[in-house]
Amino acid sequence: MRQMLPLFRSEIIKLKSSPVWYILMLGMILTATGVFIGHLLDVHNMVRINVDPWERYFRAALAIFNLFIVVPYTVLLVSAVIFVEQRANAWKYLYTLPHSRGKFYFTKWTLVAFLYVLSIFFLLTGVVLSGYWLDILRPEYEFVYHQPQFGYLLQEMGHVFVASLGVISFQYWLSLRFRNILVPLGVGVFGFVFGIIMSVTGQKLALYLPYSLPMIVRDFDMFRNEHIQDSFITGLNNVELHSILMAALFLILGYWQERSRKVE
Amino acid sequence: MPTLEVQDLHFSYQRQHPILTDLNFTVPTQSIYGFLGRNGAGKSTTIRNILGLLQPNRGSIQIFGEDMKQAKRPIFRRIGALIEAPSLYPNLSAQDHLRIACRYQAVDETRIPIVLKQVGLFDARTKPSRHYSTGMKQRLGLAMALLHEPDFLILDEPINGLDPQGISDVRELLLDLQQQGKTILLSSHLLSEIEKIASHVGIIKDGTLLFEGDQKALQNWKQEQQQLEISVSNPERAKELLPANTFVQQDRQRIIVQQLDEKAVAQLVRDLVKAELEVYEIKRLTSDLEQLFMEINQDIVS
Repeated sequence: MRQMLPLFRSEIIKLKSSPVWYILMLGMILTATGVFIGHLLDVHNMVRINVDPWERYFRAALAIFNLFIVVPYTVLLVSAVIFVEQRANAWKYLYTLPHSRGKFYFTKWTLVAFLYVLSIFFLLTGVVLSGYWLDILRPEYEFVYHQPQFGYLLQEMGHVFVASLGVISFQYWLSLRFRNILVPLGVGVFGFVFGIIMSVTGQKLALYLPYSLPMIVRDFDMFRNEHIQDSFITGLNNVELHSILMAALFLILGYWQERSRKVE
Repeated sequence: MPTLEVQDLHFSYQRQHPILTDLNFTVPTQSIYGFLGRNGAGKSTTIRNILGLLQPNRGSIQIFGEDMKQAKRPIFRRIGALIEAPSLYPNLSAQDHLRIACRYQAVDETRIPIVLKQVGLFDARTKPSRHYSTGMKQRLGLAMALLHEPDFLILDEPINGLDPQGISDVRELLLDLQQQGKTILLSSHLLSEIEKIASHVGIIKDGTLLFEGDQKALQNWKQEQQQLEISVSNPERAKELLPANTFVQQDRQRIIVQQLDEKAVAQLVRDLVKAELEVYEIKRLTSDLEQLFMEINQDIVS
């Protein structure tokens, strides 16, 4: 792990002036804007007397993020990170350095996961700031009289993160397998649409589709998949367990593929 | 002990179409080994096999006396490579690229200005590489290969895109590195450049090595390969008139003989005429090597 640190730092330098940062901001902006506009326009239905406004606000933000943002966001993020290497045709340089291919492979995956976590913090900041801004325009929400429940939001985002590991690893494998960025993007868009359909219709298949997992891991009063079960041993539900298994499967598959790849 | 020893290297993408066929060559330590061949001859494929980017079907590659398959990581610590166009991130400057390379190679960042000056990129160090000319990109690739002061440099067409001054600078730099005890494997399709810089030469054609040796051996070999073709009315009689041990082969009215000097050719013509033979044609044959050189030169012209 310590040996991976210099490689990780190099990965961060590579992102200088790259579109990855815009993608990171995009997830936050879209979510914060969505929840902000919803609350701004529908103030009479949203305001509840003696109810913490942050809780409702956060739940709405998470619902938007989980259903509409997280999958396309993940697809874009993974494709953009891998595209940095593809565009530079950097594999022939990287694989002649005194590091194993596995080290590069897992460092890059760690970078994607790190950027995902970073985007959660961006999201958190964006949603809270939009809440305070909303309070200026609609003081009846009374955001300023309550403390934002960061713990709750982080916990929920943690579940979404675990449920996203499957799609992260699947897209990661896809992006490395197909050197043309259009392939992982195209599959990602199709997966997103199919995932939404499977999720909102409560299909059992949604539990086995990496694109659906982050959408159904939490219901947020929208739709409930009756096949979701909590595991008392692990503290995770079967959606999260499926995501972890898929992540492991595609990570191993990608590693095996990368180890023996011909670099032309 | 040679720095690089390639033995019976065989590589193909598809079984029926071998790209490299039983390739053997040796790069002596502290030499500049010019790996010469026309485009598509198999130079880059050979280099990719040496560096482990492609897996050979069979054969062995020994670098610093160690098997490449067994000791890849320690060997890579002592190698600097530039394979065709350098791998550059368009959004990053030369300085950023070298900062990244410093982390990969565990090299102190104080080396950065030194190599930048060495390749003549110091003044453009903060400019994003997307604004670099082809030559500047090539220099940056060279800087990345030199950063960790490797013992063995593998450079695939490093002077591509360089202007004459740039080519001259790189030549000086490589000669200087050789003086410092480094070994350099330099692939190129430019015969003139290889002749100017290389102490040893290997010539590859269609995935097979045609020639290997030092500059002197190359000149001798060229001489040995030269032959004369003589067309006469009575080849059997003409063969009797040839200088001793010069006959090579006969094809109908044509006989092939070893290259003769000008006086010997004049004497042979006189003897043939005196013997009342009709001499239809005498011409110098181009050897495989010369043919190859001509093809290489045609590549340059085109």
